[in-house]
Amino acid sequence: MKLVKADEARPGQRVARDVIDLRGNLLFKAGSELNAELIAACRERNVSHLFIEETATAARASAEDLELRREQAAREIDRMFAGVDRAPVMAALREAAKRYHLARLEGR
Amino acid sequence: MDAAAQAQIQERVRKLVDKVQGLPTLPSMMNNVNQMILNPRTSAKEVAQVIASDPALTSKVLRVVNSSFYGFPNRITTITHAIVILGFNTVKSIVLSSTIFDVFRRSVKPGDFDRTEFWKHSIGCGAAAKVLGRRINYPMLEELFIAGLLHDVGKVILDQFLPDSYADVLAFVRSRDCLIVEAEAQVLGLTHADVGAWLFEKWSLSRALVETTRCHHNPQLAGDHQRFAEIIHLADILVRALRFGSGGDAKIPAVSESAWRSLGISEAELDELLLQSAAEIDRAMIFLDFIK
Repeated sequence: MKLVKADEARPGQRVARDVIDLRGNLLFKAGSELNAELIAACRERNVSHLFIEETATAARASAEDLELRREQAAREIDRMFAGVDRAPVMAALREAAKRYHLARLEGR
Repeated sequence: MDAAAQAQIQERVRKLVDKVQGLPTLPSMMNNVNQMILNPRTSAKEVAQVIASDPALTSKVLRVVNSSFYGFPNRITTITHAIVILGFNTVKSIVLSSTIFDVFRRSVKPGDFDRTEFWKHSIGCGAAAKVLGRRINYPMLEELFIAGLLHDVGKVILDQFLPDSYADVLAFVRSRDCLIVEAEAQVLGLTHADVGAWLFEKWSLSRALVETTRCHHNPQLAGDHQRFAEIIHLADILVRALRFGSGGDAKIPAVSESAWRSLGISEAELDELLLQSAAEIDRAMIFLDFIK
C-alpha cells in the first residue's frame, strides 16, 4: 500500500482504504478500481491523498514511473526558476523545492 | 515608483473601471460588521446577530472555526462563542474572506483562468504567510493569512469583467512563458496588483491590505506596511515553489533582495519553511469550501 496525491492517482489503480471526504462522507470503498470519474470526485471533494494497493508488478512499474516523475518534476522546477536563479537565494530555493517534491514523490 | 508614474497607473485603472459594468460592492452586511467592530462598545452578541442573519455564511464560519486550521479541542456551536474564543478580528477575517470568495466565485464564461487553482494558490499564499509570520514573530498572523488569501484578487476582477482582454494576457503568458504580472503590464498597461488595491480602497478595507495588495511584487514601495508586504511577497514565492495551485503562469518571481535581507531568514531555513507551509496549507484547505 502506498499514499499518493489524488492528483497523481491513475485509472486502473485500486484504493487500499475507504475514501472519505473532509465532512466524513464515504466516497467509495476500499478495493474500488479508480476511473476518471472517481478521480474527478476526489478532486471535487478536496480529497488530497489516497492509499493505493501495490502488487509486485505494480511496484516494479511504479518504480520506473517514479523515476520518470522525478525527472519530470526536476525539469519543471528548473523551467519555473529559469532566469531568476542567478540570485543565490533563488538557486537555494530551487534546490529546496526539488528536495521537497522528490521527497513527496517517494512518499517521504 | 514616482508620483507621476503612480498617477498614470491610477488613471489607467480608472479608465479600465469605467468600462466595467456592475463591479461588485462589498455586501452591506460586511460593512455593518466592519462598523460595529470599530465601536468599542459593541458586544459579541450584537455582531453575532448580524452574521447570523445569513444562515449560509454562519454555517461556513462555524465549519472554519471548528476545523484543524484553528485547532480548538471543543466544538464551537454559535457565532457568539466563536467571537469570544477567537476574537472579533479573526471572525471578521473569516467573514470577509467568505464574502469575497462569494462575490468572485462565479466565472462569467469558462475561460483559461482556472478559479479553483487560483484560490488554491491564494489559500497557499495565506498559509505560507502565516508560517513566515510565526518565524519572524510577526504579531498579526490572522491579518497575514487574509492578506495572502486576497493579494491576487485583481486577477479575478480582470478575468471576470474584462474577459477578452484577460484572455489576451493569458495568451501572452503562454507564448512568452513569462510571469502573468509582466504580461498584464505589457498587454493592459497595469497589473492585478493595481486593480486589487483599487477595489480594496473603494471598499474601505485596511491600509495594510490595500498597500500590501498593491506592492506584493515590490514590497519596498509599501511605505508603513513594508514588513507586511515583504511577508506576502515571500509567501507568494514559497507557494509557487511548492507548486500548489496556480496564479495563471508557470514561472516564479525573483525574491526582492531588500525584502530577503529585511526578513532576516537564511537560505538554510528554506527546506523547513516549505515543509511547514505545506502542512499549514493542508489545514487551511477548509477555506476552499467557501467557493462551493
